[in-house]
Amino acid sequence: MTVLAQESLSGEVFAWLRGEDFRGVDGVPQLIAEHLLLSIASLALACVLALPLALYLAHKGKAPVLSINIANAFRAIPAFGLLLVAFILGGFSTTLLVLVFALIGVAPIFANAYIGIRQVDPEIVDAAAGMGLTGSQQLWQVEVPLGSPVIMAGIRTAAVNIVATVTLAAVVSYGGLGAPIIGGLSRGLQFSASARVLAIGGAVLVALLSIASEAALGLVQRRIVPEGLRLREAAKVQKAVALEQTAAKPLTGAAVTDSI
Amino acid sequence: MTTIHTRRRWTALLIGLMLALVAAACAESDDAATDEVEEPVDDVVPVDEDEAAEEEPPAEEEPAEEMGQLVVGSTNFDEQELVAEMYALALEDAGFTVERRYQLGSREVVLPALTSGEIDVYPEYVGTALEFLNEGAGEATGDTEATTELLRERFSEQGIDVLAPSDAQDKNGLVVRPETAEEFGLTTVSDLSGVAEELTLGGPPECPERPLCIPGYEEAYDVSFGDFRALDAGGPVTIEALDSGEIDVALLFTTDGVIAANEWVLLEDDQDLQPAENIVPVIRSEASSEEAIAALDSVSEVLTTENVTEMIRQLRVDLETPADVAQQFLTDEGVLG
Amino acid sequence: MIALAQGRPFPDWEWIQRNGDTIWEQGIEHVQLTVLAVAIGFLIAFPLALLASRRRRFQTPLLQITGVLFTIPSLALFVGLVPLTGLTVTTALIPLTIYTLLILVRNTIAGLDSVPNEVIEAARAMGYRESALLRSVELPLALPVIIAGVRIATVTTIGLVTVTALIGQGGWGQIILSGFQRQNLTPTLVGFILSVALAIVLDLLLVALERRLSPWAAEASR
Repeated sequence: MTVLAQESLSGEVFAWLRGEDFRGVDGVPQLIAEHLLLSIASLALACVLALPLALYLAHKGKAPVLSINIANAFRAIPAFGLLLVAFILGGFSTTLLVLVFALIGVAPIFANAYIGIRQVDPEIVDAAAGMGLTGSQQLWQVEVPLGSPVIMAGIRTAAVNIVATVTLAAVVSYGGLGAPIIGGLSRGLQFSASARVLAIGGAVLVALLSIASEAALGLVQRRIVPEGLRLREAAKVQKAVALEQTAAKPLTGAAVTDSI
Repeated sequence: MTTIHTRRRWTALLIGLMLALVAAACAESDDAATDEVEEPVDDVVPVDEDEAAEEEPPAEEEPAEEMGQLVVGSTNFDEQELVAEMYALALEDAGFTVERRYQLGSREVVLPALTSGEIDVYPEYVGTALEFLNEGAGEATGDTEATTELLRERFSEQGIDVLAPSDAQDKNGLVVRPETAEEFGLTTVSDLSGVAEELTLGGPPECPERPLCIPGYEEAYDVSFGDFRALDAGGPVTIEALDSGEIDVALLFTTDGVIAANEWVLLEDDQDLQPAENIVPVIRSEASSEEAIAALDSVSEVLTTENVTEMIRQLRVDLETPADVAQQFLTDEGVLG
Repeated sequence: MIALAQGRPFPDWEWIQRNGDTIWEQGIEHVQLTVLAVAIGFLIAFPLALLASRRRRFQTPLLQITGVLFTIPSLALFVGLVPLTGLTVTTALIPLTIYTLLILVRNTIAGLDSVPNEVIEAARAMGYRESALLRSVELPLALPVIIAGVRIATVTTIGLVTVTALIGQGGWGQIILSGFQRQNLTPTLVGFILSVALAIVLDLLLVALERRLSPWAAEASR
């Protein structure tokens, strides 16, 4: 009898992975889709909010200390608290959720974009100016490409953070991979194997999704970072990517590695 | 520009303030000791600390109290906190020293805390508790006495005593907006059969698996909802969902003053699916004593569904605190002092 | 504003006055959890990072492991530990420490690695032996990056502490949660704002500490 029960539980789990409902929780593909949808939208909004300002300020060389400190202030936002405040203010609103999670991603994107641009060798920028490139041409044709490894590292960090934090959205019944975790919790982890399956399954799936997202963005990074830069600075960039830090120079208030 | 000496002074002051804060916290708290931050030295050294992490708050040292100490707990549900506070006040009135540990988590978290001795007593609901302990075997009925007896048997296996149940019951109930009730002509749960396919039910995440939830309604009433949304257990998410139209039918708790405040319609449980849910104190046998039982019983004796509903309304609509409401109520009822 | 929240006084100054004690106590709890987690995390992270920075073999696996551990959602860790360690500070502290550990290991390695090799060579040539090398050369130069890591770990932990309200701990997370349960915006917002304020204050304190400990870095980046 026990053996049968075990088998059917594994069978149910596989069915769940294939997309069938498991004990009232939506199938895994749907959960992943919901989770990704919210994560991608939030990451996109975070980029829209953070990148233009960071690139502009870094290019102009303005407000170095203030910028980093404001980025850190965004990191100070407790996601859980913001989520609950947002729900009280706006109820069920996916738009609001996107905003909440975007704010979580702003800090690493802003900080890394700023630092990425700042650490570009000023002589190169001067040379470009000397060649007649305008300010914005300098930014887009010189600074951004050269700073792109660091900028992308920031975006990847933000992605990992956002994917992990979107788990909390299940507290206000959004769905996503947090739903089985919350579902397992309310069924009682000590008292039911299906509860444990839900909670652990959800956690593992979020972790996998996080890693996959980072890897996917890594592929994007390979496309964006200019080949010459890649080859010449391979070692430096690789270390920067591996450690997700800014290159070399310890700036005061450097916002280095970042994760949730 | 400040000199290096001024900077050193400011930094030292800041560090000193933080250490003072942490040290003050240490002195007051009954928790683990905290660590010091880096010492300002000329050489850079790694952070220097001493740690003393403890796992449990040590028992408070009090001058010999008449009755000893008890820990009263509650789940993260304000009705629970309210009743638990009443227990705490009554026990204190009887001479006990009471440590309050409220809002600890769901039943799944609090019940083990009771059996393991982290807490000594908390309020339970006879039907749900029984079904929880027997893993959904369906033994709970509308008969308070019978259900309580079965619960006693189960709990005694774990060294827990179930005291006398109060008359106050907080059952699960299905609630709809007045418009929905009008449109489909709903006053009882039976009225839902045949109509439920067009409606969305919202309730706690485990509802699809609980014998008193979706499966129960299907079996006892032939009511099968078109869709189910996992929300929370009668909390703000469910309330907002019903209010905003995300769901059509909500599983709420019958003492929730929100129902009346919004003029929602509580559907009558005409087939008596929901068992008795009398509020009852459950206490560890080892921690129990005649005086404790007497104090707890004195609270149970004055609770009724009506006054609990009214007090929940005060909590949720008037935003009073559980401590104030409990104090006021027990004083009015003559249980205290 | 949602259903019941409408019609409520906001900001509810009276609530704030009545609950001043609770707010203070929870604040102490919040600070304690944060400081403990970061301190213990650092104690563990530092030797690990040192090892990884000295022996390259360990570095990649260590970073990969910490990277993966980091993707585990905090909610799952807190909830998963309750059956094991009960409803105690420990249950909250273990995952909090793990997360700070992960951040601190990465940053400490980055910091130690950021010391230019030429400097180390020069120091060795001048006769510095290992421990003196570490203390007087590497650490001072690595310090800004290491402290940047401590800042991030601290600020992040403050946010995570609020989540522990779901298992009965939580510092200001408790008023956030109970405000939410009663659909009262004031306590939720108060808890939120205080958490952010605490994070900013601790961050600034750490910046001040960094400036104090490595004044040359401030000069260099000018």
